[in-house]
Amino acid sequence: MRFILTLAVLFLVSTTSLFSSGFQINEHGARATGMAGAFVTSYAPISIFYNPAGLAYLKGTNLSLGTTLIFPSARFRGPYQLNTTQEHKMVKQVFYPSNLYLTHTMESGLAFGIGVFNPYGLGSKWPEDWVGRAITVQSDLKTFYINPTIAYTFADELSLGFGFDYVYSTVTLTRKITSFNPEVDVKLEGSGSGVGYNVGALLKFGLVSLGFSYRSQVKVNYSGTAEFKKPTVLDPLLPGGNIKTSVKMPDIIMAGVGFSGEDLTVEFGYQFTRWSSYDVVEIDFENETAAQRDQTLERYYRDVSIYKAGLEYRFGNFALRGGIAYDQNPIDDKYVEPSLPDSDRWEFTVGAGYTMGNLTIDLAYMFVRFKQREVIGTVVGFDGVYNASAHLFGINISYKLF
Amino acid sequence: MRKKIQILNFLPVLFVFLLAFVFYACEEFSEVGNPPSLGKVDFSRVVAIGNSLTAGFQDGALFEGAQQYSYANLIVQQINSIGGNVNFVQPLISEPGIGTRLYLRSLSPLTLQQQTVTGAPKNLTHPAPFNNLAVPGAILYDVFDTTDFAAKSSARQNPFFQIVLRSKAFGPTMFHQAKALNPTFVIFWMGNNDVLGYAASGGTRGTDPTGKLPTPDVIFQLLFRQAIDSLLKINTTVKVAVANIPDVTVIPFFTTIPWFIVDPTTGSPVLDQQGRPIPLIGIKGGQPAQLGPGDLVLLTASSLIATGYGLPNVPPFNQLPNAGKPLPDEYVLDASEVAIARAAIQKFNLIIDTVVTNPTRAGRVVRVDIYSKLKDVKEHGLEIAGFKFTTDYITGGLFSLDGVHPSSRGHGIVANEFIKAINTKFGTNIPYVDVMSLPGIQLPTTAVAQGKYQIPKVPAEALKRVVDLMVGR
Repeated sequence: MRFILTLAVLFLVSTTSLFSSGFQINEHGARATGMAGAFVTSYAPISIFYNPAGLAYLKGTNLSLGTTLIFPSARFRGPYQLNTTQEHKMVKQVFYPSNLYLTHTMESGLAFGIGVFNPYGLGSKWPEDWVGRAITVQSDLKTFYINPTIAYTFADELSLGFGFDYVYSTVTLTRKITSFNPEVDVKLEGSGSGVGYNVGALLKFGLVSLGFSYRSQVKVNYSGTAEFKKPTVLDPLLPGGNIKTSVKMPDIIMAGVGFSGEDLTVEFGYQFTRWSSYDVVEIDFENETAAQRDQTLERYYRDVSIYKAGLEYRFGNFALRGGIAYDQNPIDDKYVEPSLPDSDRWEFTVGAGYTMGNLTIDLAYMFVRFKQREVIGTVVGFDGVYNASAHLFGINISYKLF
Repeated sequence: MRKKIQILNFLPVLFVFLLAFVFYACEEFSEVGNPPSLGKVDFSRVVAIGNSLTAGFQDGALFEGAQQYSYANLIVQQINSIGGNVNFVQPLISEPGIGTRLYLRSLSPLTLQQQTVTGAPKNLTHPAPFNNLAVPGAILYDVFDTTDFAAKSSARQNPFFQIVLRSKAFGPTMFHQAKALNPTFVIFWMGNNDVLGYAASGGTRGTDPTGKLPTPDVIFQLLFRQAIDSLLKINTTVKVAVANIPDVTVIPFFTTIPWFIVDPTTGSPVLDQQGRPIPLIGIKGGQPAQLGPGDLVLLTASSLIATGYGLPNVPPFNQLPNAGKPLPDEYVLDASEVAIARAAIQKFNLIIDTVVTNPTRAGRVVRVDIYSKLKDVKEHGLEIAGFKFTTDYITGGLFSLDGVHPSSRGHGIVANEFIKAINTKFGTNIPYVDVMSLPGIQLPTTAVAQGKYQIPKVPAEALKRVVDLMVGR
């Protein structure tokens, strides 16, 4: 347990990132990443995230530790409001949402485990003096899920899993108030926690498997501070102080059908994210003044789907993987803004695994190709064209303890 | 053997994946928008004719720090940003400028301080007429009025005729000096003072022959047509961009102070026993009368109200020395006067439309619809890159401290309306001014303790000078 806590601290100082649709991240195990996330009918320690029922089919005690390096890049051309298509580049950052899984499966078919991962996250940073600085300079949201899980095989054909989520999250948002000369730096910071649960089921009929998992919505209540870097003359108008807000991390449904032979596994998967829970973000200031008022940020995301297909081919100690996914974005044109320049995207993945005795190393590479997106009529008055892509490198090291 | 076959089965699948991957493995990126272009328009000699708006007057004064952001200068800078190479010389005035300049001293409470400033004209040795020939305080009539401009400056107590026109050797009027430059492109925005003089004096003075009303529309029509036709005759290719006249109800000078009494501690209306707001008292038709929703109390009234003017002589208001006295006539544009001003604006704008769209001129003249733009900002606000402009006094971002003239960013928005009209009409594609790169509200450097009065404290005298400037003759 101490080990886990130490890692927990490590996770907190690390980060998570932008770049799955919305601020969702689906890469929580290199083996699954190599298969484009189509992993609800497979089983491994990482199943705690993808489908907890899978734990019941493991053997013995397993530990898996991994991370995904994400290298996003994005640019904006515009804003059309200024009759320009000048290009602005997002500042390069690297994110590394990480994961840890510890599982134990008993002969009786009862399994339990704990997983730690970062399924929601957002990171974007634009130059301090860029044209959109009144909207955003830097956004950083991290979530940190601790997910104890149990699973049980009722028969060879059916297993069920259940887990509890404790969620800790931090958020930092910076921008500028440009009304004044000199401009004012705004920094909103907060942290909070919430709880949720997850369930999963796995059915096997010979070569064919059906998998289903559900992870509940988690409402995270944040409390923190608003800080304004400003000339003292603005003190009475912008005193800053304590703020409160809450964000609902949406629920996720994953389902898939898998075909598994001795050497080959193919899965066709579907994922539904109920983003409509992310409608408005209300920021509540403890101190209100004429200029510092409670704020309601409109988001109004849409529910979206991901379609994915992945395969794994095993020979000897090796495994090769490939996958493809189409991931819809949940944001209507009018609400798109540069802190999260989202777009529908294709994801292409390849991966490999190698097992030496009790040790397995899995590697994955994913390329995310965002559709060029032109947005007109945005509520923040920032119309233009977004382009983005991302490279992801995943690694997991798994050890079968006994 | 069995294993080999399996690998062979698997390879085509892998191959398809790899192909798909390679095919899509590049970021989607295509060109958007049209490249910037000056089209076939000759911008080599740009001249601006206008009043204080075109001159870049701000905060009650004309000074270099504001003139550099005059919308005319901003337009030229945008033309130059795509290779225009236009030399646009303005009659710059050294800091702190000429006029009664307002400074922001505190935002909460909103407190301004005035200072009579006497900067010096620069560019005195420029060997040609200025490109920006806008004279603060000028009315349409002044464009062609050959009265000696030095004499006019002293008669109207308006130094700007002399400062801008400078030398009779260049010509006796704004028009003549413009013509001497043989312009290829003219920016023309005139006529605001032909109604603002009336409105800003609370309907007590004006620019018509009686000195009591806005310029009569028949005169306006005559003068305006003459102005445009004369400009078009300077040479056969000169092009002209003409702005129309915004409504008085979009200008914070007229809309900031409500018609009822506001509690200075809370900023909300003081209510009577029936829960209704208590009206201020002004003069209507020569008699003291309660004001109503259609009456506009001018910004200049704020410091008078603070001493009791316009308030009934009953507790608690009777503690103030002037309680019981009505607001003098020149501090209120009452509903019937508002109607006169708005009627004049409608007629002027119709004349501008008719003259500009006449087929004999339409090919070389474009109208810039500032009236509609400001009306739209008044109704919906204007959101640009995360900042919402409104027509509110100071905080709206559009108007400078005097409540009549645009701020630097207000000039940016006006410049962009001109550029939009020019692009549409003449086939250019000039990028707009990055409005947010222009300075916002200049914050005072010292802290001021938080007070309780939320009605802006605007020195009446300072704004009076602005009003006098507009009333003209």
